[in-house]
Amino acid sequence: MGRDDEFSRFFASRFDQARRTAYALCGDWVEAEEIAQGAFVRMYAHWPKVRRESAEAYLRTVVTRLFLDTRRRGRGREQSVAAPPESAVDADTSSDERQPLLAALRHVPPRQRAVLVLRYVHDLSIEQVAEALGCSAGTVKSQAARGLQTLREAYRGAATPETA
Amino acid sequence: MWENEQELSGRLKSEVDGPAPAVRTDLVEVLKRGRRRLLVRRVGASAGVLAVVGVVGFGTAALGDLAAPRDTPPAGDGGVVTTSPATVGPEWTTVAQPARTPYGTFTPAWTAPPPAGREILSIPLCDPGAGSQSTTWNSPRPPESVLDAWVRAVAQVASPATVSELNTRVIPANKDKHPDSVDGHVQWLDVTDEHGTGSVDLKAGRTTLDPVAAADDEAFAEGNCAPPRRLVRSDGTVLQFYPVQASEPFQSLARVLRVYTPTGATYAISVVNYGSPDFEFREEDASFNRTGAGRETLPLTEEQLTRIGLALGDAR
Repeated sequence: MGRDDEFSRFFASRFDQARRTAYALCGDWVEAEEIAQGAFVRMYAHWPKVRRESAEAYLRTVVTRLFLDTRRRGRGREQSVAAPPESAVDADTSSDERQPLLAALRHVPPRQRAVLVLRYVHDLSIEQVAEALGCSAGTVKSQAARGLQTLREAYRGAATPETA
Repeated sequence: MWENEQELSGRLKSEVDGPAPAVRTDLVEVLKRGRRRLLVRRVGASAGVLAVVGVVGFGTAALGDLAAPRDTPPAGDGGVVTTSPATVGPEWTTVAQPARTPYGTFTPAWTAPPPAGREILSIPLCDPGAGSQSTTWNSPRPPESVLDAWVRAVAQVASPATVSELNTRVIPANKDKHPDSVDGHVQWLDVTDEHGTGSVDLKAGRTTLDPVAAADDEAFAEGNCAPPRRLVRSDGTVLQFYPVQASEPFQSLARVLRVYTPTGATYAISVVNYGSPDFEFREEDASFNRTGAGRETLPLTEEQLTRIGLALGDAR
């Protein structure tokens, strides 16, 4: 099977999953699609060296690092988008009411958010998260603890409407 | 609120797996961008740099209306930029290799389309292949004589357009990851006329083959589908002219002339439809970010680029 055939199959089976992971990280479907697309483009360039049994983990790592990279750059999207894309999101698919946890997750700083997504959406161990993010297990633990605290506060705030 | 981490995990997964808009990315677009990225990684010291400065692009088409007519024979310079007799009445031929079969047609990325009103060019895309095993384009600093000749030639042939001072950036080698890597030198000149700003860049490389063999080896290295045109000069230097290519982001156009010298030194001169106003250099990671679409057309004609190539061939 040729490079493109194998890659095409991987793309078909994993793109939506990568996009959803990116959405959990960034909270925006348009940006999520950009991140997922960018991740597959990078994977294509490395495809001959990617071990098939670890391809999914590799993809997850690339998605996460691309997301963090955009946040480090601060205005990453503005650099790559020429004009506001037309809306690709149905009105009710990004509703905070329908997705209260993901809405609260957006209040968590990006790196802590990445730890939470890898840990609780993808069920990675502390060590696996550390490998994906290129940091120590201790850092992951502390980031996870702080992220959970922020998430709780944000979720509690959203669930308790202010009273006059 | 969730009672424990397991419950949190379950609820997060449920929301992530919830309703989502339709996927807009298609495989063809990913393969296209992937191939370009692969090519950039193979041919240069820095993917970001080379992609932005326009060395790399895909596709080929008779875009004669973008600059000079495609069939315009590359002209002699009349002594303007070089005095070599070999440049008078050059005979250009189409490389005798069969055209490649396109794998698709250029389509702007929906995330970075051309400005409204700009015509979308339909340009076939071909696989650039695995890259030459004998020629490397790792962007060492060109010899001063070559650099000077290139700068002078651009200024002379571009007139009355305005040509900027020489812009240079150095991309440090990554010895940890690639022990054989070298510092990459990027140099470009902005060319501005009433249609806007474009630019011309110069990239250096090296080959272990003789000029004709090296040019044969890279006949389709720009992702062109039609074979390039070629001039073999009396001293053995080969000038190889590639069709105009288009690539993302926006609708980036590039016309490339490669020069293969008998000494093994190789050069690629690229004319692109964007310049310094359209990208920025990020010192923190030594890369370029493209920010603007650039002008609609290339800033120099085929004939002007040919003159620059001839001057560069004389200067080594």
